[in-house]
Amino acid sequence: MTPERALYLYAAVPGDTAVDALRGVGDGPVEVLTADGLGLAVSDVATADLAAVVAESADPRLVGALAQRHDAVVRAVAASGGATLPFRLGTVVTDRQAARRFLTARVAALRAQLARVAGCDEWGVTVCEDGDPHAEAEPADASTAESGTAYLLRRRQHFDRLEQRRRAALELVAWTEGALGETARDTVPGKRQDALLLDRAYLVRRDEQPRFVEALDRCGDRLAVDGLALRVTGPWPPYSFVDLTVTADE
Amino acid sequence: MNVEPRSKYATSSSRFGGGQRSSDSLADILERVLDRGVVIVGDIVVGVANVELLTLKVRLLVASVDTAKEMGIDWWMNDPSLSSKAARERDALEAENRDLRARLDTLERSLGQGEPS
Repeated sequence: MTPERALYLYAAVPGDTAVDALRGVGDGPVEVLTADGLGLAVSDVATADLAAVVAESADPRLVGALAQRHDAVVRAVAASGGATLPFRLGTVVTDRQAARRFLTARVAALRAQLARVAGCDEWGVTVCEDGDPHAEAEPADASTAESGTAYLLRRRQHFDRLEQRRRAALELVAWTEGALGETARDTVPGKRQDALLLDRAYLVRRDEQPRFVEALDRCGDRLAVDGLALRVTGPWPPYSFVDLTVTADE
Repeated sequence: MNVEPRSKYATSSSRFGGGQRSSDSLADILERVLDRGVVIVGDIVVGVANVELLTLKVRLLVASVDTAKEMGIDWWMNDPSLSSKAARERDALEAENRDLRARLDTLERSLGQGEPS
């Protein structure tokens, strides 16, 4: 049976992390629970509030609001300067005791992940064609004046040009990946890597940030010359660089 | 406080701790928070907002804004775990959206309250 009240988890942090007055999901105050030198940013929630967000008949915008609040709290916690391991959206545990049990169950793993992201932010970078990639129209049907051979030749030249452009784009993207990767501590592919020319998240040390931003601008300028658009989001808490599934009940 | 260096290719003012973020970055937020992060498995987890439910809701959210493409929320389209049920619900929502818009237009015209162009 679902309890009436539970604890919403935002992020795992070092035990000495302090958060300013901050309201979480459902407006409850955010606090940091500690155990074994580790901390958890949490707030008390009514389970009915969360059930209302995911109910079949619920306004889907509620989930957007939940995500925004989750992100706002994780950001605020990260802004306090300490390493931050965000939880997956909607992670709720039964009570404080269970939360502490979770911390003590995997101290080593949590510490290792915290060390990995300490002093770093995440940046999202995508590259896509700027505007319509098929702007160059295919040759029109052969006119009566044109021989079939001439038409086919023209058509082949058209596809050769497209192929050349595609190769040039891939080369530029590879160059961009190299330039950004040099300054980043780590990188992982994003969800749209198949649909875009580039979709990656970069983990960047804060003291390397000016160099990274400089590299972004340099790459963006060069890509734009070839009609490719660089899009940058960040800095984010290291959402994409947490790789941890913890069984709390061992 | 230090001034953060900002790339001129940055799309949103996403400064840490800085109040409300613009709605156009909702897509970016959803992409990051939905199925990433620390995952807990076990009895201590209260399953009221499990990821399948949240994912379904996000898909409905995407369907309810016809700017989904502009927002860039289409990463889930190629997701093999996307059930056809979610797709059907999306289509139904889109149809309902169009219908409601059309009815609203008619209503506005009949009231003579259309925006002067």
